[in-house]
Amino acid sequence: MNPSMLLQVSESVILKSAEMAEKDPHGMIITLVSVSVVFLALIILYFAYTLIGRTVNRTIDWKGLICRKTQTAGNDMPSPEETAAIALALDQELNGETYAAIGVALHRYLNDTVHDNESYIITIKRKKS
Amino acid sequence: MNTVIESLQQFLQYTGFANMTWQHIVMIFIGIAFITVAIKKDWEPLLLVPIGFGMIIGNIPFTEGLQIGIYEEGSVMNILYQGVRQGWYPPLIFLGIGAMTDFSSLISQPRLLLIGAAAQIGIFGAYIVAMLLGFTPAESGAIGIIGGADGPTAIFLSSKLAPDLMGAIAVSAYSYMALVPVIQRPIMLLLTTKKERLIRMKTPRTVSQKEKIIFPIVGFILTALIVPSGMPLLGMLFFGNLLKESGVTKRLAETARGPLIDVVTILIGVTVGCSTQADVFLTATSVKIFFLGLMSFVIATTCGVLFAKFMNLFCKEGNKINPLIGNAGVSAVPDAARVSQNVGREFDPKNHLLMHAMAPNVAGVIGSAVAAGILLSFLG
Repeated sequence: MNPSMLLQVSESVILKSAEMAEKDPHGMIITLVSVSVVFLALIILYFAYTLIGRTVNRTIDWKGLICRKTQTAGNDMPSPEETAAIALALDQELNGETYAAIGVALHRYLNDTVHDNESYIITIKRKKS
Repeated sequence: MNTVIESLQQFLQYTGFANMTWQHIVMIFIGIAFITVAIKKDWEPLLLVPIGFGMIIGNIPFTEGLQIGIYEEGSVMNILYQGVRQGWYPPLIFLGIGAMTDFSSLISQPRLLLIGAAAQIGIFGAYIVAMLLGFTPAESGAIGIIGGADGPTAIFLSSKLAPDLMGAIAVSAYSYMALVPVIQRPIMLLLTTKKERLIRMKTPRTVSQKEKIIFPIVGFILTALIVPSGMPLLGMLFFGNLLKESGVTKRLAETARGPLIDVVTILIGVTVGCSTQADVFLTATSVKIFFLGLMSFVIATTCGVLFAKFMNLFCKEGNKINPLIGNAGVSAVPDAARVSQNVGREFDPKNHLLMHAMAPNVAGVIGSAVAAGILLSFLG
C-alpha cells in the first residue's frame, strides 16, 4: 500500500489550514495570539499557585505545624540543592538502585518526614498524682 | 531442474537484496548511527535505540502484499502504528511523566512558570519560518512544535495536522532532544555575563503534601478550561501526578511511571523508526524539517535565557534568577535542567541550579502541551 494513502490529513484540517493560509499568510496573527494564550495560561497558574501556597501555609502556620527544619536543621547539613546535585552525580556514575535509594532519601528529607514535627508551643499541664 | 532454477529465481526476487535501493541503505546506516550514538554517548538511549532499530526494520525492502509493512493495513506493525497514527501513545507517556515528576520546585517558585512560557516562543518562531518556506499552516504548526522539545507532544500534534511528515518531525524532535547539551550550552554562554552566571538563587521553601495534591487538580482545571484541545495531554500529565502525590495510589503510580511508560516507549520508538521508510523520509522536505527543528530549539533556548534576564530587572537583590536556568524552559525533562546545573557548576562549583532549573523545565512540559492545544484548535 502506498504510505500516502494511510497518511492522509483529515478534511477539517485541510479546510482550516486553507482558511488560515488565506487570513494569515505570514503566520503573524496565529503567533501573537498563541504566545499570548500560552503566557495567559501560565500567568493564571502562577497566580493560582501563589495564592494556594500562601493559603495552605497560612493554615498550617495557624495550626503551629509549619516546620522549616530542612533549612534550619543545622549548618553541617547539606542544602536541598546540594543533595539534589549529589543524586544527579550518582545517577550518572552508579546504578539505578542507588539513585532510587537516594531519591527516596531526598524526597523524605525535603518533605521533612524523617523528623518529628514540633509545634513549638509550650504548655503547662498539671499532672495528676 | 528448470523448475528448481525458476523457483530459486522467484525466491530471489522476493529477497531484500533484490529490492534494495541506495535510499534503503542510507536509512539503515542512519538507524545504526542512532543506536551507536545512544550506546557510545548515552544520549537518550531509551528512545534512540528503539527508533534506530525501528529504522532498520522499516527499511528492509520487501514485496508488497504480504501484510508485513507498517503501511500495509492489518499487518502487525500497522496495528502497533495506530497508537502513533491515532495519537494514543503520547497521552500514555504523559501519564508516566506526570507520575514520575516532582513538581515541588515549581510549586515553591511559581514565578519560574513564566520562563517555561517564554521558551515556547521557539515553536511559533519556527511556525513563521516554515510558512515562509512554503509549508501549509497545518504542516508549519506540526513542524514548529519540535521547538517544545517534547517528543510525545510532537507526535501527538503531527499525527493530527501532518501525518505524512510525522516520521521526520518525530526523528528530528528526538534527535535534538538528545543533543540538548550540545545545542544549548553555547547559547547560554553567549547570552549571559560572568556575573549573571554566578547568581545564587534563594533556597526554595518546603512544599506540603496538601499543596502537591492540589497542584494537579487546579493545574488541570485551569489549563484545560483555557485550552480544551490540549486535554488528552494535560489530563494525563496531571492525572499521573495526582497518582504520585495522593499517597494512596502507589501501585497505580508505580505502574504508570514504570511498566506502562516503558511499554509505550518501546512501541512508540520502534513504530516511529519503522515509519521512516526511505521513500517517505529521504526527501528535501525532511531536510527542511531538520533545519526548522534546530532553529526552533535555538529560538526556544534564547527566549528562555533572555526572559530570565528580563525578569531580573524586576527582582530585588537576593531574589534574582540565575539566567542559566532559562534554557530549561524547553520541556526536555530533566536533560535541560541538567545542562543548567552543569554549566552553572563550571563557573561556581558550589552553585547547584538543578532544583531551580526543574521549575521552568516542568513548566515547559505544561507550556508545550498548551501550545500544542492552541495549534490544534486553530488548525485541527
